[in-house]
Amino acid sequence: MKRVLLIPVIFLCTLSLAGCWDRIEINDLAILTAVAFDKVDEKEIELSVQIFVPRSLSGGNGTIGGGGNIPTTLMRTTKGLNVADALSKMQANLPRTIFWGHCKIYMFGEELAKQGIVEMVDFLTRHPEPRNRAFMLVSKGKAKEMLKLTPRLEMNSAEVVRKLTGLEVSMEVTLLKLQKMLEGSAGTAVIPMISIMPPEKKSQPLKTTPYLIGTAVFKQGKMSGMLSERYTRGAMWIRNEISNTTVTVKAKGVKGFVSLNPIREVTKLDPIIENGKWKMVVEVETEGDLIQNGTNLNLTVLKLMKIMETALREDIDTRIKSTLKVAQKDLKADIFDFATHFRRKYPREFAAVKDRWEQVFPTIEVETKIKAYIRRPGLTTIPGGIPESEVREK
Amino acid sequence: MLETGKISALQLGMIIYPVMMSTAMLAGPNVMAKAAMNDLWISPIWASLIGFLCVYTTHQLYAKYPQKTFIEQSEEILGKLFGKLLGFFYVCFFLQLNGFIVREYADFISIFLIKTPLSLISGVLVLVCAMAVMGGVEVVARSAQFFFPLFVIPLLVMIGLIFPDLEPRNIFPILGNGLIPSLKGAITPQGWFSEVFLISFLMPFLTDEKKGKRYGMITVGLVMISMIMVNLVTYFLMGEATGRILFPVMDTARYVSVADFFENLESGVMAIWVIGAFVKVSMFYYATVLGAAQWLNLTTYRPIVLPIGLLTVIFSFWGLPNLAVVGDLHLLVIPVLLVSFCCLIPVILLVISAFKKSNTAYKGAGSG
Repeated sequence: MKRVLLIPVIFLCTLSLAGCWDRIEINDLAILTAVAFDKVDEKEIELSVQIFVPRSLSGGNGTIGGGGNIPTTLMRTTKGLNVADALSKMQANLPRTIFWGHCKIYMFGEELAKQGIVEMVDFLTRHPEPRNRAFMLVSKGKAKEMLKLTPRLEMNSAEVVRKLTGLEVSMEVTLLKLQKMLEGSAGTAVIPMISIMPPEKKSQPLKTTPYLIGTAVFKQGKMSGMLSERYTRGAMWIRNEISNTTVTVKAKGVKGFVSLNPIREVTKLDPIIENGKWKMVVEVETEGDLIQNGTNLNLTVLKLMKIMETALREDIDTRIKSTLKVAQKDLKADIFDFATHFRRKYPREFAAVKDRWEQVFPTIEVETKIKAYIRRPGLTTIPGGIPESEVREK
Repeated sequence: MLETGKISALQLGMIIYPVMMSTAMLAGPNVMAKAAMNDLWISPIWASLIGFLCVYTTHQLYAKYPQKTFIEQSEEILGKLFGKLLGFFYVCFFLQLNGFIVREYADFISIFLIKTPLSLISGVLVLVCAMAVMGGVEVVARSAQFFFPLFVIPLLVMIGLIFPDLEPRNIFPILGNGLIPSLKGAITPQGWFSEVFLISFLMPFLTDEKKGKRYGMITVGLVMISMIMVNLVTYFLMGEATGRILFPVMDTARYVSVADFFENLESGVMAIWVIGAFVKVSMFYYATVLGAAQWLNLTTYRPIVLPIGLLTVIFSFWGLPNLAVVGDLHLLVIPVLLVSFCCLIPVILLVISAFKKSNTAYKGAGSG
């Protein structure tokens, strides 16, 4: 009798084990690819989302590449008191459930960034769906405009931004990193900034692409300034984040430029407090290959190579120094996270100045120690295209 | 004899490890980071001292009163009336605590299964555990043994995958604010380490009794090492944000990204947590059932398994309206209760028994 009773029990178990009772079909989901937050006025924000349109992909194998009549994404915008409010209003006129799990891009409009982004970050970290590895960006002008673009190379503007950020040509800030920066000792956060590339003549105004223009600097969760692309690079040198770069330098007393591709760069920050004086030693070590030689120097000759190494050293030094000047004098923001380095080495001294770090940071003296090596000359020895008689060997 | 099953000392270790580790793995880094910041890895070392003490006292009591669980021991030591009273407190405490553990589990799962009612989540877990307990200590031990690798290996794999994103420099300054923060961080984990006291309900069924103490000590040591490891990995990844993230280990798994497609491993962490919670709840469940049966002088504990399961589910709701209350209790009240019930009272009983033993020996000599 007992065994007979077991059979319906097993059947019931298999029914529930299939997990169908609270399934969500993929065609019931509105998959977000990018989200933009903008300011409307003091009270309201505007939430814009880019939704992936799956139908655009399922047109059969033959039409891919040829078609393109159906856009791959659509954009929706709603206003609300905060993100959650706007989201619920948006859901009210969207037939599919909004799904955040695949959203890799969050953009803040410049206006909103100036007003403060803490509330948005709170929403993103509290909600279980958004990913910690999603990239954060600030857009010049309204962030909404970025979502409207239909770039030609990638499927949608979110993909462009994601790949650009992933190239590490500019800073790469994920949600987790932003959270860490906002709660860090320095009280400063950096987020890469994007803008719309001006469209080519005669092309449709939306057929263009976003591109990186620099870095937005946040103090206490509010955007307070901006670094240009050049200074962003400088900051990345100090933050030990630089990886994909070409350095073009000109040596003293030599005509023409030489370009180098550093393969390996390591930056070490060493804080020192001596007699109440705060000092930061920035140690950079880099080595790389020659990729273009516009001078008449034969750079396989050790002595001439040394000249170029000195020039490389000086160039990096100038980059770092000028960025430091901008950060310390103009922005007064610790974008290099010196605070954490001081806290790690001098916890007591740092605790004493923690509350007025903003005033202390500009007074920190910075010393640079740069080691630069040119390891290989590339595939040719003497400069290309000039007669051998003009090549300088000494 | 209520229980006829036998387990090995290794199985005892494999039960106790998830009992201590599963809560610690989920909320541990957050709890310890709040108090100790970057010294969070030192806290488990302080807290483990309680664990070692617990194993020692439990074993000493067992050596004095062999083949007896704590409920029976207390009757022997304190006499019928006070022993029964203390036993009653213990059964109630286990019941309440198990309800609390079930609630913690359900709260975590319901973050992701938003629409599923809490009572269903906890009910299903308790039902599965009831089946294990119904089977007796052997079934509890075998399932723990089976799940042990599934509990440990994914954790190690996850740590390996997240390795490139770690920033070991986050550990500095070591002891920057002195010892106090790391000691404060040890308050809550002390409670988790005290749970090793449950070996009192397993030792009578060991095939190799002599190894019981050694395996208890080894398990406490392993849990300490695992906690340090988990704490360090999460802190290396999240730095100062660790204290703000409710379930840091899960967020760590979410951050894994290998070759752009091997991502979002949080379902793995949830699976580990479900396994851990199963072993933990079934062990507490078993201790409650066995304790209650011994307290009531029953000949078999099977009839009371389901009623106690029902009570456990009810206790997972009583007085626990929201996560704020659960979190508050978790931080201070439960650890204090755990330390006093699992460590302090056994130590007191051990002291009393030391006096009493000489007395009874004297009496025995007198009457004989």
